[in-house]
Amino acid sequence: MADTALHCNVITPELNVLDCEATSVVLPAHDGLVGIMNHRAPMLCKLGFGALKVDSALGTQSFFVESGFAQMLDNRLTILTDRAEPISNIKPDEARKELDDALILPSGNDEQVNARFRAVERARARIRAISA
Amino acid sequence: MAKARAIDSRRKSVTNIQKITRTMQLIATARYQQSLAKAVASKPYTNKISELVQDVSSAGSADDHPLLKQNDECRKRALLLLTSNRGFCGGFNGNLIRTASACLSDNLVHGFDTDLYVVGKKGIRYFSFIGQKLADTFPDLPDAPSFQQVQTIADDFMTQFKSGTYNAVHVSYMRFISAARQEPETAQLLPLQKETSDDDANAETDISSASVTYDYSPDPGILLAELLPVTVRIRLYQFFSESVVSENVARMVAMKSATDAAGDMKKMLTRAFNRARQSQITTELLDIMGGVEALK
Repeated sequence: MADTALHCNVITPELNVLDCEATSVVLPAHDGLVGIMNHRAPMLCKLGFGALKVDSALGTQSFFVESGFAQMLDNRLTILTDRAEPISNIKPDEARKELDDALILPSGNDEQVNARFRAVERARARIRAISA
Repeated sequence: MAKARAIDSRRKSVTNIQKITRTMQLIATARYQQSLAKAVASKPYTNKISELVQDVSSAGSADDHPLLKQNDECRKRALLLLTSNRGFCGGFNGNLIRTASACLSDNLVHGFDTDLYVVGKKGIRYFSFIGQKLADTFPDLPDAPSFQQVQTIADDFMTQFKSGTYNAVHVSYMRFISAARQEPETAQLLPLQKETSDDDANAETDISSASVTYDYSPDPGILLAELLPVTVRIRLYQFFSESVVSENVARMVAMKSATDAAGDMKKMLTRAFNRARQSQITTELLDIMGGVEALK
């Protein structure tokens, strides 16, 4: 196990969400999904919205993360994110309602357009995460 | 009889007050442990963010980032004061208000106007009483705000700082050093100051990580620009967390002193009551004996 494992740590400002040995991790980087296995070269990337999947001896644990950073160094993967919510806690009805609410947000100026775009992207990512 | 009865009723009221202060002490102890656990839980995130900032800084310079630049032309500063919503916490609010007032005077001496932002009813009430104009008071903030709530405040300050409204943003809060020691402090939130690591352990990690070549995505410059606002948010969150922990410690200590003082007072009143009762009995006995003598 030790040879094929990497240490995975998911930290939010309020909680140490996960601290375990994992066989592989798939994380939502800002430009797409990134798969990480043991002894990967050092990496530092920005995260986007999406599902974070951690495969370990206990099974697969999935979290919805929104923004943050991932650092891979010395076979240790550290994920810093504002929020990591277990995907099983997301209710489909609420996720769909969130998307409907995001779609009717005002888009009068640049700031509002950006905020609306971000809210829609986030809501769509949540729906994608639960349907996957 | 009237004197002994009055002392007895006072003793009962002191006993009731003691029960209340003891309960408040227990509640403050429970809240202190809860808030301390929360403050400790935010440490790994803070440490890691600082580590990432150092790593990325070595790869890409962001000296011209708006959060690092001080606008010398602007003669206005912002001061955020973190006080508590409730009293019974000894000198906690008084010390913080004195620290903030000192910062306001200092800014005035250096020729800066200050926009005062106050969190907590105690601070708001004091500054309203002395007629100080407040820029904002955050009335919806709970006693222990979440990261999301603090993030909104930090984002507002960053927007105003970047737009050139403020020359600097300071925060007056109660720094938690240990359960026995907390100090009021005014810290600079913006512009961000480069951290000086005086810790040997930190210095060692700096050297070890400086030699690492990362796969950056996106470029280090962009990554650093993304990391700096996070640093500001987490720093402000830490100020809030430390203030909440210190408030609970202060309340715990104040309520313990009040409970002890009530205990002393109860002892004193019991002695006074016994003395009054004894003298009353003596007087009554003397009266009876006097009556018996008169009947003879």
